[in-house]
Amino acid sequence: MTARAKIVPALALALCVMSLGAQPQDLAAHWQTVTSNDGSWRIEWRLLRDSDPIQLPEARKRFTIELKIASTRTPADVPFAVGVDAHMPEHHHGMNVAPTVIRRSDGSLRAEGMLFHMSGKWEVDVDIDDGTTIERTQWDIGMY
Amino acid sequence: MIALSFSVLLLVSSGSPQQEVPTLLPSSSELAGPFRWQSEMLRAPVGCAIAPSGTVAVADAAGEVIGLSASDGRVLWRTSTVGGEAMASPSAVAFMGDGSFLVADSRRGRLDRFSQAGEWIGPFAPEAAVGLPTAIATGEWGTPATGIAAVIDASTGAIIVLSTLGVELARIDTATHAAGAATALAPSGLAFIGHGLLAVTARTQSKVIILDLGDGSGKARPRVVGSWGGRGAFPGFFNSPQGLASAGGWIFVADQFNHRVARHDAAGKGQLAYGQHAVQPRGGEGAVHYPVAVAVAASVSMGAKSGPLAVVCEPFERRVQAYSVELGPEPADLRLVLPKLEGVQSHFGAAASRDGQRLFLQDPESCSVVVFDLSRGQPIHVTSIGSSGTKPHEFGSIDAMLALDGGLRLLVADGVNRRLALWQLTEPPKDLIFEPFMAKLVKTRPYDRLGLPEGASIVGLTHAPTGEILALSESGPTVVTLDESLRTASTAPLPLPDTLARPSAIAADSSGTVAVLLDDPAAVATFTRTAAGWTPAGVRPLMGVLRARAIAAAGDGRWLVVDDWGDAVIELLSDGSQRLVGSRGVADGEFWLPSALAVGPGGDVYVVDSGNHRAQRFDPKLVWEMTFSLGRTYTRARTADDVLRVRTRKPAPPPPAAPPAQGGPS
Repeated sequence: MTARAKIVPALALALCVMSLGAQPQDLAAHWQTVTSNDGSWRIEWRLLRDSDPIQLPEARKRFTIELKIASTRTPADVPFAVGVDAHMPEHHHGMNVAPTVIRRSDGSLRAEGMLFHMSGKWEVDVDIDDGTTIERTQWDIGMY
Repeated sequence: MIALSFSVLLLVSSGSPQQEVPTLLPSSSELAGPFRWQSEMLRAPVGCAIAPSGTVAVADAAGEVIGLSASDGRVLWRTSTVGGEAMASPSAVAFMGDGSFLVADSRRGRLDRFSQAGEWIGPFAPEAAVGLPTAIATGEWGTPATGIAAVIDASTGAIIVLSTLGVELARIDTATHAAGAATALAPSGLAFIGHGLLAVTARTQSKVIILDLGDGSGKARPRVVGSWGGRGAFPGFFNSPQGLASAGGWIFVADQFNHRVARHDAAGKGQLAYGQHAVQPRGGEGAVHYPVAVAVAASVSMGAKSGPLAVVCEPFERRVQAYSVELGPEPADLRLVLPKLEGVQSHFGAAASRDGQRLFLQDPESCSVVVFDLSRGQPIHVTSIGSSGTKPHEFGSIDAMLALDGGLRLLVADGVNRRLALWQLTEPPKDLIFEPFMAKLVKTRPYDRLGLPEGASIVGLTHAPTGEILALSESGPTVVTLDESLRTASTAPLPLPDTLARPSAIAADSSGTVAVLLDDPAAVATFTRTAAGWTPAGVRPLMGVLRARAIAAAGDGRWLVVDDWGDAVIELLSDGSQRLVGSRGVADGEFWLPSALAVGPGGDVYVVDSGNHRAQRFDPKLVWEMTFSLGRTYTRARTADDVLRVRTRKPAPPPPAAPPAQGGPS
């Protein structure tokens, strides 16, 4: 790669960051990335309500988590099965509902029917089954 | 209720000798009936029955005897043989209508019949395939009413219905009594509650189910007609229900980890519970500690009087207690006494592991793992992992543990949820604090993806010097070899000698020799791994060991074995000799049902002293150094009197005087 070729993407990235920085409320509504707990999967996720990206869920209102899952070891690998759940570790309980995970034609997934029934720290758990082991990915959503 | 309590306080504080002080409502346990007697000449009573005559029969799995007592507790008869053979873990007894009684001898896989006087009549149902009989009940079905017996075969989970002549009439498989539940029930106790109606406890699901066995004609198939329960402490919930009994229209459930015997009707209603949780080990005379079996008779002659009688088996305390039981209707109002369910206590169980500066102990009652940091000299409780449940980050049971990566990872074998679970812990912080979110689940691997036989469980885990994980399955037996990410697994049979014993644990030493512990008759079988598989290197019988429960390599060719029924640690030396360490008791250095051990890199030994609710540390020469539990550590050896004096609490001070009334109620 030439020096010029390196600069162009860097500039594009900087412009992109500046653009996002101008609208911080939109940043959280965009895709975020997390790696599974044994490093086998990279997950991009965002929150949706009625198909619109949202920054945070609202208590007692249904929402959706949209997921893009890619293997970090073998790019061709796709999850055999995916489970999505959430619980409040400080309160020792989970949700009162069971979300439905739907695979879309573009390969992304949607966990529909999520509902946080109270404020506080929630942990989202995504369990990815590769047919041999079931590996967990998790992140926190603070809803105060 | 609140108004009544307030009026009691006012009357007490007034101090007037003339006024009668009203008592509180009777509690759910006080109503259950008074304690009568207890028998302590036992090792592990796990099954009991009462004849209409009042004769009490008890199966003692550790003593390998069955015995009969009078209704006042006097021992009438005992035997340790059946038809000229030694018993091997008798597990249950049940009286037939003619006064004879049936005995289940679990490890021999046999049922036998004895006369009312204790004479062996002969084998019962020898044609029926019963691999591991663990519970028996007798009752009736059909028209006209015909006597039958029901037996749990724990090797398959099936319930077998037998005629009084020992002919197999029906076999109820796990699919039938699961009745569409996601996981098969593991039946643990039985009692007939009516004509053709059988109540069954499912220990791991904390449920009671009612089975209608049909009419005996073969036209109606057995089916589930009712169930209740779930894990909890409120009436109608259980924490590891085990034995069952029925009398006077009530069902009595030995609710093991709630430390009570609960009384319900056939719909699961009823709030009475026998016994209160023993505040300290050895506390008896009404206090109940880990009951596993119960028997109730509606009317028994007790001296000049006659009335209902209940007996309760508590192998944890090595005793049977008897109560005058209440069979009348439940009062409309009573004061509930509930066991404490939440939170981790020092109820350490039969799994332990250590790596680096972290020690992991199992707490069976909360179904979690207690983590101690050892870097500061005395063990400091830094976090707890998991809770009871079926979600990936919850445990159904903790059958074995293996600390990895210097204590930064932990592998747990969960036989109820049938999976291995790998956890990651954060590095120890500079200043040690209790950090509840120190651990996170990394991944799980279901047992059915390990190449194990269907229904097989993992009973032991160890780390080979090559870095591989070795998981011992009792079925086969088999060893599964896994990498530390659980991705690869290979399974190979283990050529054990022909024995009644079951493999109970596995350990590996630095040379690569793998030792598999056999429980009873106790022995250590060693193996080396070759290209052809596991090659036997020898079998070493353990002399005087009652039940071998845990094993660890201790360096210099030594192995350490825990004998839980024998209350000792056995040191096996490289020259073939063995040394016994410890004895039964509560003093430091003594044990009561020790159940697990872990050895540190410096040779220090941690022994889980389950029956005393504590752990103890020994130096490499097995000299006592320390006793600890959650929040307490003792480094100066105490006598039994010292220990019991600490445990005896002073009576609570009287309540402070109530403030003067500030006007009428609003």
